[in-house]
Amino acid sequence: MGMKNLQRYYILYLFLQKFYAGELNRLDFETWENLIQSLQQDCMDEENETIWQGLRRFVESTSEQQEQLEFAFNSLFVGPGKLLAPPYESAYLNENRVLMQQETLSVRKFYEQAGLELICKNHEPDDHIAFELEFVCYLLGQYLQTKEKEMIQMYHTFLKTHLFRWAGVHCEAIREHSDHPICLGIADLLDGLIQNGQTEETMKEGNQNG
Amino acid sequence: MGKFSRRDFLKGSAALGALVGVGTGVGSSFKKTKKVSAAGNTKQVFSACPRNCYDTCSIVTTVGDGTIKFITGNKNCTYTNGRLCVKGYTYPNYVYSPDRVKYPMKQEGRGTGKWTRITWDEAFEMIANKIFEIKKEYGSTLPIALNKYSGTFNTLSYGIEGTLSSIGYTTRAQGTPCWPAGIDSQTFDFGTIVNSDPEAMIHSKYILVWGANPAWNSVHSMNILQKAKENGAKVVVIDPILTDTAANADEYIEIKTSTDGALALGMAKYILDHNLHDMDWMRKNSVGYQEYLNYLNNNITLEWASEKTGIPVEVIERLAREYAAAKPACIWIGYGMQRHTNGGAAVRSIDALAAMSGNVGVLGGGANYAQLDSWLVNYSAMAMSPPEGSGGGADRMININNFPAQVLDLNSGDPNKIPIKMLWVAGRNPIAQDPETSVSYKAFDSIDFVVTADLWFNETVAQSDLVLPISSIFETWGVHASYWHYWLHINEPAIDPLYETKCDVEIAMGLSKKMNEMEPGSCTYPTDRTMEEWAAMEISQDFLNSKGMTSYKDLLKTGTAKVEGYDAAWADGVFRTPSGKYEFLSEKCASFGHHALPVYVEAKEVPTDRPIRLLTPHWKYGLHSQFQNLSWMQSVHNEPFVEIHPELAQKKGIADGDMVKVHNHIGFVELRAKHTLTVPKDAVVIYEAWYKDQKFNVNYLVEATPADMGSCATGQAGLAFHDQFVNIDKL
Ligand code: SF4
Repeated sequence: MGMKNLQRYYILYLFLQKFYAGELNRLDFETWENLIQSLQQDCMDEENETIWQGLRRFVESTSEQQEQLEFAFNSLFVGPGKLLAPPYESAYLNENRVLMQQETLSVRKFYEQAGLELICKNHEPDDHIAFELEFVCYLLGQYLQTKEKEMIQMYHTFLKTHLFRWAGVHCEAIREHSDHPICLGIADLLDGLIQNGQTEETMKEGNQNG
Repeated sequence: MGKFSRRDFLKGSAALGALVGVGTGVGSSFKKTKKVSAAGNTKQVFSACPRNCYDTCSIVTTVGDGTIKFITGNKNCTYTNGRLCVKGYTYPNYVYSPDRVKYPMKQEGRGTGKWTRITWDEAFEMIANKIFEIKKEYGSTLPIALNKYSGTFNTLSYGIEGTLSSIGYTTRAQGTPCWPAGIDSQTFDFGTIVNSDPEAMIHSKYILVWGANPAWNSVHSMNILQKAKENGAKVVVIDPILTDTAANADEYIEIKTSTDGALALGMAKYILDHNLHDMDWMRKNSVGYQEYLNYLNNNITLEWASEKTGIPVEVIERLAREYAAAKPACIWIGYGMQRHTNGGAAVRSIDALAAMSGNVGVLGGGANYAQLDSWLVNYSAMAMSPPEGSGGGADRMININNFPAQVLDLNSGDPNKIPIKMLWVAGRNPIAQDPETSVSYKAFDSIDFVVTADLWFNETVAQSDLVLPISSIFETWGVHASYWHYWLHINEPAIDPLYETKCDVEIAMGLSKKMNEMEPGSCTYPTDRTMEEWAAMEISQDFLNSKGMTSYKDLLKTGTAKVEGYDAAWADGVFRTPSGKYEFLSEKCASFGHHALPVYVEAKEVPTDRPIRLLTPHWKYGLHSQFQNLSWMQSVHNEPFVEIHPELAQKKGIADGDMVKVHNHIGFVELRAKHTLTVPKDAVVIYEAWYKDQKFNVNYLVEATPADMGSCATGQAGLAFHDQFVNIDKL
């Protein structure tokens, strides 16, 4: 896979991470517009239509909608009510929708194998999507900087065994419960990245078999 | 992760600059570690269930990887005996539900759902500003009201009352919805509530479970009943509903609702007529027995009792004979039977039956209702004095059982009344639990600022400006006593508090710190104690002495210890009444406007336009509005229903499973009908419960009708929850 693709993915994951960490909720509209513009620029080479659909949703969002983002964001991902699209891996993979069970702990273990642990360990579930995305950025960033093979392998394995296993269902939940363009755009971005991941996987397998 | 943050590899990116400017950098949530979690490293700590439940279980929590692995009952407590109930076993799911309230949040417009996350500091500042603003305008903190009750019985949760006391004189929701009529009865008869240790029921030869349903609400007591049976006891259940307890008993007596006093008096009359009463005991230990016996002789016949109760004369006779002959015989007086306009009087008649038959003060006997003697705690988190110079003079009490109406009255604009401007809700979900739901909403609307502290989002949180996230019992310290058994438990934190949750005392300390920063001397709540120190302070010296312990640390070894001396309540014959004796005739009772003797008080008349009684007992898998919100519970049961006898259903043309409207003069609910032979023919049953994400609430139908008693011991009369009448129609 080309370095350019990975660089673009890094930016997209970083954007998603900031979003899920709640850091885009209170941007002023101008900053938001600039951010989206530069994100589009960075994505010039992107061929995935779902990702572009997401980017277009961002571009089309109005300043009123952007002001309402925090409310929409909280009702999907934070509360205080029942979470409409929980941002936790275990909320989807645990059969009883319970956090901090083996599903969460296996994410914790993955971090540990990469030599990392959460500063807020045991206060926030390790499998919150913002942490998973931050970890993905970390692995990818390390690889892009050092070209250490182990990093890119971990990156692929983590996506395959964790983030991509549940993010699709999570996106469905967003689509079911929200009509906010930015939240819907986020679901598109995530889905697009999953699709790209699958295509690349198939190609890789094809190469190996051929 | 310094080196990494330069991101030289992305020099060409347009977005990177913008993104790096936002929030924190990549990797800042993590730190380096060398260790990899190994499975199998676990420890065990003692916890305690804080629910408003007879059983108040001591829990053993197994912790690994900083998380709860599983929980079970503590064997050191012979009452809990190593097991929990279905509700208790769900605690790990409860603690780790994704739906907990996680952070302090404020709502832009109550009921709008427009929530934003704020820091604790901002939350404290908002609350403090509101308090200062009120103080300035009204010269006191009386416009600030507290509505708190039984959502948590951790004694450290009395820190909520302490919070309000530490800011000045405030308005309090006073009283209790659940059990006050019976408390008053026993206060008049015995001097206070003291039941025999329920574990001593195994010594009983005959057990009357009168209006209680332990099969659902006190499962650990079922083991004791079972043991008593194995020892040869007969267990008889008296109830208008054929409960699971009744189904498991040796005999079930169906009684017409709200006529329990008549049955007790009828039985006493038979016992007296057949000379089976204990004259010696009465002479030695009681006052007013002659007047009581005269009343039985002059006013009571078995035919009358039979007509009132719907129980055949022969059955009453046999019941009385068996009860008097079996020595010892015990009565368990449930809370349901006193939730009537004649409920207090009924409990007095039952007490008198136990006393006249010589069953008070004997092992395996008793008229067992409840107790608070085992609460050997200091209430140190509660006992706070107001800041110097506080206005208002004293706390103002308003009736918890008619809270919304009283708030509306105070907020009616009358210049002579100090209004309620701010409401603090904790350990309660009043909008779900209070009668007259529509009035509750109006009352909330009339208040400027509402702050609710809870673990869960609910109707009350939805109507609040601010919600504060509360830690579960597994994330903090606690000291717990029961109102039924005699064990005192300590609760150690098993795990770190998740998210930004805090316990009530931590909130009190945080608010105090903020207020004193803003206005020195404005709050007296101490801020320099750890939660462990608060827990240590809570356990009384009397308790430690009685157990030969030197500090709370000794209690941590077993998690629990029993307060001794209550195998047979009142065995010493020292009653806490004005006369020091058991009072068949109570002047104190008369001074509260009741008859001095335990006479029969007629049941509330059935209104002709609403002839069907509505009973709203507890549900087996929930506790008031608690537990039902968990995904697991919802998968078991998430649809409200009304239970109706097939005979009544046929008259109304209602088939099993039909949607029906249950309605009366104050409201209505729509739900599915379920035919069952277990309910009376003249009543319907809707279990009091909350259903997540549904508008259903049975309290739309429940009027704030006061019970006859309660104001002596608890300040306010109880609620006649079971004297509610409705119509039912097929939709
Ligand atoms: S709800 Fe009652 S029986 Fe169940 S665990 Fe808690 S105290 Fe025990």
